[in-house]
Formats: sequence, C-alpha cells, structure tokens
Amino acid sequence: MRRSFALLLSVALVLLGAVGCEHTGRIARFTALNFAVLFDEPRPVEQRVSDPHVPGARLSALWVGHATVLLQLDDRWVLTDPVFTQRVGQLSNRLVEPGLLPDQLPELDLVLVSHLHFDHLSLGSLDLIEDRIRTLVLPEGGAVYVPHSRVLPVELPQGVSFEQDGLRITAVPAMHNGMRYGLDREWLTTSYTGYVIEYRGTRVYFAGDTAFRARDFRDIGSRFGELDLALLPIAPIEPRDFMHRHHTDPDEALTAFQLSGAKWMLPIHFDTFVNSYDEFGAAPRALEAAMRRRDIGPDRVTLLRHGERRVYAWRR
Amino acid sequence: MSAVLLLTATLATGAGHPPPRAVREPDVHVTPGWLVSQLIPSPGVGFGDDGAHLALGWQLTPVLYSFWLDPRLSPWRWFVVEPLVRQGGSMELFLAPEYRTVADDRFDFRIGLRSYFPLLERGDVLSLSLATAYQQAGDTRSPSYEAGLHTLFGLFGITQQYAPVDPVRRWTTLFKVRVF
Repeated sequence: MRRSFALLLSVALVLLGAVGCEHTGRIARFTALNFAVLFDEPRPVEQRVSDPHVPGARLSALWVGHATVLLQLDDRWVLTDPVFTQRVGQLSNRLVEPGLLPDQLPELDLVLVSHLHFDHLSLGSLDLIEDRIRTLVLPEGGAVYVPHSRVLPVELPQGVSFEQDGLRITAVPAMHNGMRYGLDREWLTTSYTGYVIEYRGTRVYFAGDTAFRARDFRDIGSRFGELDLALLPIAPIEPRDFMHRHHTDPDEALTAFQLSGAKWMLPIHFDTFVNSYDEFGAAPRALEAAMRRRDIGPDRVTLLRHGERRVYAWRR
Repeated sequence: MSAVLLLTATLATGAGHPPPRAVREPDVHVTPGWLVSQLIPSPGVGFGDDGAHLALGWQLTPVLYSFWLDPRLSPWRWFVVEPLVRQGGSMELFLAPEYRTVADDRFDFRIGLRSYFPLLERGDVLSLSLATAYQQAGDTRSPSYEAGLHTLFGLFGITQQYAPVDPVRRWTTLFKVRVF
C-alpha cells in the first residue's frame, strides 16, 4: 500500500515536472526518484567489521557510507560528516545500510561536519553518537543548526586551524553552498568547508562537498606538503549542467586528487542516498573508467564498499 | 494567566553553559523570498454553532526567543526565524490574521504566545507547539488555545484551536504551511 502510494506520487511528480519549467522539472524528478525508494529496505552490508580499531595502523579509513568516514590516525579517531539514520531530510531514504553501527564507534576525538545540508549534518545521527564525541567541528555559521548540543561545537572559518592534543584541523576552501532550508542561503554564505587533518606527520584531506576549482586543490597540496590521503566526492554526476556548480564528478575528482598531490584517494559521496539522476553504481563505474584512461591503479585510488576499510600506513 | 505559566515553563527548561570559543552570529534578515513565502496561507476548517466553514490562516512572528540555541548565539529573532531555531525549542509572540467563510466578520485575528518543543531530531523532524492567544472577530472577543504538531522542519503541521467564548469559531483545525 505504502509503495503503491509512493509510486503514484512519483509518477505524478514526473508528470508535473514534464509540464513545468526546467528548474521545477528537476526538483520534481529528484523528489520522484526519492519517493520511488522511500519505503525500500536498504541493501545489507555483508561484512561489517565488529571493531574498527586496527592495531599498529598509522592511517586507516573505514567508509561508513556517503561522506561518513571513520579515520584512525595512530591512536586518534576522527569521523567525517556522520550520518547513520535511515533517512536524511525525512524524504531521502538510505540505499545501503551504514557500514558501521553507531554503537561500534570508538570514542571520537573529532567529528568534522563539512556543511549544513541534511546529508552531511544529520541531527538524528548526532543524537546517536553524541556521548562519544569529544569535539565537534562545524563550518563557520554552523552552530545555529546544532541546538541542544552536549558539547559546544567549534566553528572553523576557512583558513583557520584548531589544535587538540596533537591533532591539528584546518578548514580549507571548498566550492559549495551553506544553506540548509533554502531561504537561509542569503546569509549562510560561508558555511561550507573542507578540512585537512594532521597528526604525527600524517595528513588527510577531507573535501566535504565541493565543485571543481583547480587552484583550491593545488593550493591545498602546496600548503600542507605531502598529503597522505584525500577523501574526495565523486558524485552526484547528473544533471551535469546543474551539478558542476556544486559537485565534482569522477573525472574531476581524479584531477583534484592529482593536483593535491596526495598519495592515496578514497572516493566518497556516492550510492548511499538519492541526490541526483545517477543510477546506483554509475559513479564508481565512471570512476573506474576514468582511472583506466589516466592509468591510475587501485593501489592509489581504492573504491571501498560500505563498511569496508583499508589500512594505508602502518606504524614503523 | 495561562500565558504567564507557559512563559515560566518555557524559560525553566532552558539550559546554559559558558561559551568556550567564538561562533558566527547569522545575519538573519528579511529577503524578497521570505516576504513572498509569508503570503502562503494555511488552509483549514472551523466549526461552531453555525456549522462548519473554511478557514485560511497566516502568521507573523514579531519576536521569538529560542531557549535551546547554542548559548554563544543570540536567542532573539525578529520576524524572520530559521526553522530549526523555532522548532528546536522557542517561544514566540505571534500575530495570526485569519479569513473564514462565515456570514459576518470574515476576517479575524489572534495575538498571543506560542511555545515549540522538539520531539524528534531536535525538532527538525517533529515538534509540538502550545499557544494561548487573544482572538477578535468584529465585536466578538475570546481567549484562544492551540496545540499543534509540526514536521519536515516546520514546513507542514496541524494545529487545533479552541476559542471557548466565540460561538461561530469555537473549533478550528489548520493544516499549517510555514516557510521560515
């Protein structure tokens, strides 16, 4: 019954889009694509690790899904854009279960939120993990959308650093938008960022959501010296004439990776929620094709499945 | 009296702790988009001694106090209020003009105090509101009480009003549509 309703609504929205203007049509199609899977069960994660801790690892990353990555930097834990809920923005259903359950998380030294969109700042997810968060880092202007916070968040404007017990976080440029509810785009004009995390000589770049701007990636690479790992979004891809203003596609992500000079790249932000016209699996397929064209091997750019982790460096 | 009790209960639930670092105060202001969005009416139905009638409601928030916002930020908003600032826990002075398909005095207004209490995801997903107001339609004056549930960051909701002294507009159910 619920599925029939969702399908009917989806068809109605597609028809509405067909007769409306281009912008209305896009919104209607996004909404229809989300309604079509609104009540679907997410795909299961087959091999979920029970303990994310890897003894002896200097740098490991576990892809929870979307932009959520659990980083182990020696004895420190950093989580990016935590999203564990079944839905984001109430209307976007999860396509794949989270690769790690909230109660499997260690005590988190830092949680980084790149911007305020529902698929990056999930208040329901913060509710689930807040008792494990030591410090919550937000982009400039983000605190207004984290009420009831047990820990007072740290706001980092782009270009500003914050240090805690040897972990150094710097907010670095991104090209996106800072709104959450639409009309707030008028004043949340700087509430988005990327971050570079440094700890005991290891450097990780988390791009958040960003469009492609060559100088940003080049500058980040030259400012921080040799980056070890770059977490770079490879989707949404289509419709490209709209998405290119806010999001890198797989080819642009590889260019960003090369400009940044990082040793390794972990692709993120795909196949977890519907936020484009992309079919499930389209973004990783496009990435693999682009890697072949550029002769970049999986040793440098590793596509992880939800819940999968890779150890990039071991303690000497 | 009920307004005083509501205000006391609201402020008593507020929490505060010392601010360790600076945060940026959002430059919330009136925009053309906001002005247009305030024209969207909330449709509803009213009931009284004369039977049922259709109703349309609008709302304006001259001032709002948020009681669970980050303590380093100003808790005050004037007219323009971000959804989470309202739904996350707040008290507002509201002015609500209403139009009804009744025989006389088709326009009425309510002015009063409304509090929002977050229920799910800090109010972003679901919040509850309670309000008490003064209602006037022509020469008919009545207290008015209201309870509501709001979802999708306050974009949609349903409120039930009760005006015990107004025989024509005693009960009103509004399907709220509110953008900021």
